[in-house]
Amino acid sequence: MVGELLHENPESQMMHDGEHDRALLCVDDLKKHYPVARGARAALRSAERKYVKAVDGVGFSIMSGDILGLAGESGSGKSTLGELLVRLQKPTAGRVLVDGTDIAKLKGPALKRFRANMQMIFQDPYATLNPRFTVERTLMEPLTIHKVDDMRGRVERARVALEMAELRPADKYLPAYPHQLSGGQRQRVAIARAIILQPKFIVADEPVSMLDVSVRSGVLNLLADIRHQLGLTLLFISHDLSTIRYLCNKTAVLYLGRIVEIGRTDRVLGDPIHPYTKALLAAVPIPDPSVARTRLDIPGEIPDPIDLPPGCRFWPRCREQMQICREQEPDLRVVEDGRMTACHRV
Amino acid sequence: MALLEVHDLDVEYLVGDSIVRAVRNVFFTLDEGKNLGIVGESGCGKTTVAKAIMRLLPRNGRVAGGRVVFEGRDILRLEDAQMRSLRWEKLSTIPQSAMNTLDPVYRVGDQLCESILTHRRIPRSKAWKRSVELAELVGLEGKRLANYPHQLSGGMKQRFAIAMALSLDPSLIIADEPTTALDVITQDRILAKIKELQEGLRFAMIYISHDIGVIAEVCDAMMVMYAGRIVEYGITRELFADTYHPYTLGLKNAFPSIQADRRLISIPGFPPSLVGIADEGCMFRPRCPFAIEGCGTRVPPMAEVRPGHWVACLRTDDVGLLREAAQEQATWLESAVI
Repeated sequence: MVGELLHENPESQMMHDGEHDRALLCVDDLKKHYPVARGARAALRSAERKYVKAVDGVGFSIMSGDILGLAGESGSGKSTLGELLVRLQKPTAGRVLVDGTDIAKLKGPALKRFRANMQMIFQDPYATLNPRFTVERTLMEPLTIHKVDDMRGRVERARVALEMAELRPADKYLPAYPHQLSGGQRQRVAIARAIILQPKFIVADEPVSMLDVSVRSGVLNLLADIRHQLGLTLLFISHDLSTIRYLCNKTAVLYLGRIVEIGRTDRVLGDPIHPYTKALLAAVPIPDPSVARTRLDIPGEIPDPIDLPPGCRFWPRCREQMQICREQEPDLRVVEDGRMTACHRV
Repeated sequence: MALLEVHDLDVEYLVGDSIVRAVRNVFFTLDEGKNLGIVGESGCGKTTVAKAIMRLLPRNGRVAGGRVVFEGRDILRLEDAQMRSLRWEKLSTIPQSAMNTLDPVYRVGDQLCESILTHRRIPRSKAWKRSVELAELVGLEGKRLANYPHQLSGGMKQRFAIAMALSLDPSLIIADEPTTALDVITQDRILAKIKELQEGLRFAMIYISHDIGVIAEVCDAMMVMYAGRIVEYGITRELFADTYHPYTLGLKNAFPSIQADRRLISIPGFPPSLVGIADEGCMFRPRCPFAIEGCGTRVPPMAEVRPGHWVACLRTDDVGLLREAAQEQATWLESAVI
């Protein structure tokens, strides 16, 4: 039945396909540390400054055309990593290379071109649209900033973007204000805004978690479709593994600022190796009362990324810890074709 | 005798000059120690049902009809003072976001004590001892009682909210999206904790969530609400296995599962706003691919399709056809997206 369904819609089918040969984006030992505020007394004693290590040594590539899902608990550094990739934040150390260019070095027109190519979709569709702007103005703004086309051409582009975001007929939505739209429609406007400059790469940070269930899947399918049609590459940040499994062909699992497992979604979520990935997966409720789930609780809670334990950052909660885990931080190693894991057990 | 019986509950809000009928004809029964899940999208009335039962509706809201019989008494007729003593003692609640319900300037232990001392004439030292017990019951160390809310993680705060709900040994707890703000791992642990506590303490629960995955795991019975009305209500297992209402069918299609590989199908359109909406016919009709002429003219009556399984749909006789068609994506494209 399932197979039949997919075959009926080959156009819109998800592409869990093979490898693309070109890396669009390479991340090399990326770090983002935030200084922790200290009191006056501590400052006078010149006590050692402490840092929140939100992203702490992350390296991976995103192949052109991929949808990479970034999973992890809150506080694992997902959003910070997403913002680093589009240069909304400057890294403390490490590099982000897009098409081989270090984005930290971009200036002037090159930076502007980069900005046009890298877009974001945020979580809260009620907060990301200017309530005083009509949809038309919201969509025209990026075109004006980047001096794309003349006035008439811009309206036409806005229309096309709305149609692509499945807000049809576009003319009905152009004069609307955000308060006249539902949450799902607003998120579609945000998507139209993100694609209007025909970017190469979009970071979508929890784009469906605030939407109602019945419209959520529509937005997910839309993201899959525009990726297909526009040849986009996507980073999809979510704490919801079911959604990642549905949408993304690659998955990375983040724990306390480091990647613990990354690779093809069917491998990482179908047959997890890292104890943390296993625990995350086991905690997902199954919407079917006839299926019994085995719980796999891990003790403790995700600690503050300020005073991290030595060795593997997961060991205090790990069910499979060994002596070496307390002493040495495991590196991300290739465990099979298309998958890397950072665990001494491997 | 059932612990809680709700009959034909109607709740209205006064918004501006108009009356919004937020909850219509809601009914259910809940036995001791059992769980009822209420699922639905934002604005469907699920939280209003909870607030009406607790008699904590905002000022512009009122119960316009119906009865809420709790342990044999109609609590809608109780004096305010009687209701106050019933609340927390017998009938308590776990709110959606514990972050906002704990007072930031008091230690959490003091807040826990406070809730006990308000209802029990016992010395403070005893109340503190009870608080330590409660903290341990929900899996927190007693020393955490000395913390202020900002020193605790979201999961810990939520546990405190549970401890508070349990503090007076209630027979019913209403939990409104108790784990929505939490991570999967924390959520899983809290759900497991609640289950474990429930086995020992035998309290009943009303569990409100938009996450049918959570409801499927926790609740014996479930109710699906749409635009203020029940569309389907029954034993969770039966309701999942033999779904009748098109909206429930649509929700099942739209919900991703970590296990299944299928294309998600969304329901066209979006949930209606109840402000200024015409009150005739089935509210789901504009989004329903199976709507027929009759759906526009009268509200579909609640039909008991088998003992304990209630459905509000005119097309229950064609359910086989509906179920099959609901799995085809094309079915859900035909009705117009507004």
